[in-house]
Amino acid sequence: MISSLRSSFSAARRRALCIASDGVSVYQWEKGGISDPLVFDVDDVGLANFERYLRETPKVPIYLMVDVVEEEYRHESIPHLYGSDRQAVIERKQAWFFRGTPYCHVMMQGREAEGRRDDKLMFTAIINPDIVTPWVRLCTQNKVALAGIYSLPILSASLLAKMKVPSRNVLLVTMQGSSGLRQSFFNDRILKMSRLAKLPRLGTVPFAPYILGELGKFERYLTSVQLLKAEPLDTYILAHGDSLDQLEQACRNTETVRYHLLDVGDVARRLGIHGVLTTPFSDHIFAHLLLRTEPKNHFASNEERRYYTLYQTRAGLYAASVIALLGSALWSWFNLIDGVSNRQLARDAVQKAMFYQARYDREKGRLPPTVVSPADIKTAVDIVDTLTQHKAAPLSRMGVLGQALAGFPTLRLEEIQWTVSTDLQAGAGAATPQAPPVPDKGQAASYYEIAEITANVYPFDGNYRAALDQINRFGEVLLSKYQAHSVTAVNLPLDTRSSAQIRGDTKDVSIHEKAEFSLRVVFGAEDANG
Amino acid sequence: MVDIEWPLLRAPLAALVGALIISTLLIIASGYFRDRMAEDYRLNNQKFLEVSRKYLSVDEDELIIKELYPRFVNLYRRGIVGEEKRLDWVEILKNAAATLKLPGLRYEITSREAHSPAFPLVPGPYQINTSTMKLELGLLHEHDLASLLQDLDEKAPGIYTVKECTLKRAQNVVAENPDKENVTAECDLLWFTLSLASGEKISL
Repeated sequence: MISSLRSSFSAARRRALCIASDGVSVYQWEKGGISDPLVFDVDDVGLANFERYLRETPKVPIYLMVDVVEEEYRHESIPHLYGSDRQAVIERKQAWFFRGTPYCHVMMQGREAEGRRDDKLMFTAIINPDIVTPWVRLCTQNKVALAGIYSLPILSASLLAKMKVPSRNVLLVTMQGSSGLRQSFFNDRILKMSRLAKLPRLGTVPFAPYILGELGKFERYLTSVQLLKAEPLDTYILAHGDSLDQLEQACRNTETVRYHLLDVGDVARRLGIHGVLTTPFSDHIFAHLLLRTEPKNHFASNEERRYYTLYQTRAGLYAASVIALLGSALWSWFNLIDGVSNRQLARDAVQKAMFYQARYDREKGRLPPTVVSPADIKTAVDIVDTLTQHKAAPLSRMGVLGQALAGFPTLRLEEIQWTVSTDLQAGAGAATPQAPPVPDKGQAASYYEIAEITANVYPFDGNYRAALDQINRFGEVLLSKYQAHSVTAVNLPLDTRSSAQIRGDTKDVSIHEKAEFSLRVVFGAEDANG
Repeated sequence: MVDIEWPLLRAPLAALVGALIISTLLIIASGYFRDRMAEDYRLNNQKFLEVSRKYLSVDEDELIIKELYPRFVNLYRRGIVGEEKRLDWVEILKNAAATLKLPGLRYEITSREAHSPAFPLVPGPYQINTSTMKLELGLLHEHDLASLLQDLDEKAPGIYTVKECTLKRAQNVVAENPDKENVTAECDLLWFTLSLASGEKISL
């Protein structure tokens, strides 16, 4: 049997190991379904065979499901806490309820309606770890990934969900070939209690009365612990063939109990299980459910799941490799498409350029040869035109100054420094005006003609007021009559600014022959053109 | 401390490293190919646009040649485009001094240098150059300066602008003697020429 396992399991991605009191079954997940089980005895021979099986088959992950009598349940409310405080309370409770077993699990089942609104928890544990430990140890020794250790009663909640059971109080009754009669009580689809009873070999005792007897015991227990209140209990029993026929004849609905008898084959079909189930046992269904839903771990410690973590890491690394390759391939594909598209466009552009070049050469042949291109001819002419427009000469402004001076016979010109600039402040005398400038006309020009006039009042009779008046009037005439942009006094016969120093001697009666001054006159180029 | 079994991770890590190397190479190679093709396309398309623009502007070129080329040739002959005519300038200055009977005329022409006008100008492929002509004049009357500049305007090959000019009274009493200077003038004239910025010579 073992020799053919390698080929049989080569396609398996995960497998279920179902531990019960009478045997341990292994199911392999293949092509969306599970195969027939391999069964190992619960003894040393079974363990040895299982170890050989692990050695000789690929190391695909194992989901270990437990269906044993030694699973206990406790309901407890604890204060609504978070984080490490909550964990500490839970661990303390677990240690109190289930001393000596590492296989504990806790389920949050809502909150109290009144008072502190404590959290309602159900604690469950496999109180005899020796049932599980040898099998787990073999997995670890053989470095087989253990995804988790699961409780069949807890898992059966998902069976109810799949069956879309609408009832509030449900008793789910299933038979497992290797464990027995499992009865799980649910309130609002939340597992409240479960019980495993022995199941005699079929045909050795009257089947239906035995089942109903066991159910009666469990109902009485539920009533005694106040889990079952005055509401009707819907009992769903999964069976098949003769067993189902016997139950149909024996089960009678009462005010408190309603029976729903389901064929295991029908349920299996609804769950999408391939093949036909021809026994009243539900082992196959639960194994399928476990491998299909891959629920969160219930009992296994991190150490026991170590190889599964490694398996996930390996899978993640392989997935990352594939994603990197696929991503880069996709990216490269887009680059390639872009590149090919651009290459085609480039070729088209070359063709079109050649086409137009040929026509351009033909047309250009008609034109007379020139030393530079026509566009450059136009540029040269435009430059010269612009330079001509900006050509400056001093004579017109000097003429203007001469005309203005003709109206002031006492002002005698000594020197004119004329310059042209785009900078209004250009010229030697611009930096230190000795009198407030006569307000300019405020018009901006493209460039300015700036004349710095050095002149004097001649003859000068010592009357500074009259001399300054002459100079001021000369400036005003330049501004008003000859459209000067601005006129600024650079030097005056007497600096009357408050910031300047005046020094003299009233006993000194000598009079200078002339009173020298200098002005800075700015003309805008547009003024001249205009 | 977590005991990691590296042997179990060796193969997937090697696969990941290999995949990353291959991915990187793929992306770099394909990116290079894409960029290269994009650049090829850009250059070829630029050539196409250029030649098509030139083709479409043939009529305009014909019009420019017809209307502006004679002016361009004239600018070349006047020494505005290409080489400046310094000898002509000097001869005209001497002739003007003699004709106007200027009491004094000294000149100096500096070497030609690149010039950037202060006003907006699109130079295109040209370099604008200037040579500064410094004139020191002794004048009988300020109108002599006007006459000299007019002579330069009419006869000198080239285009110039007066950059700055200073006129100064030479003596308090105006002299009637034509050999005497009543006014002195110092003027800087900028003579413009255009050459190709590439350094290529323009010759007709």
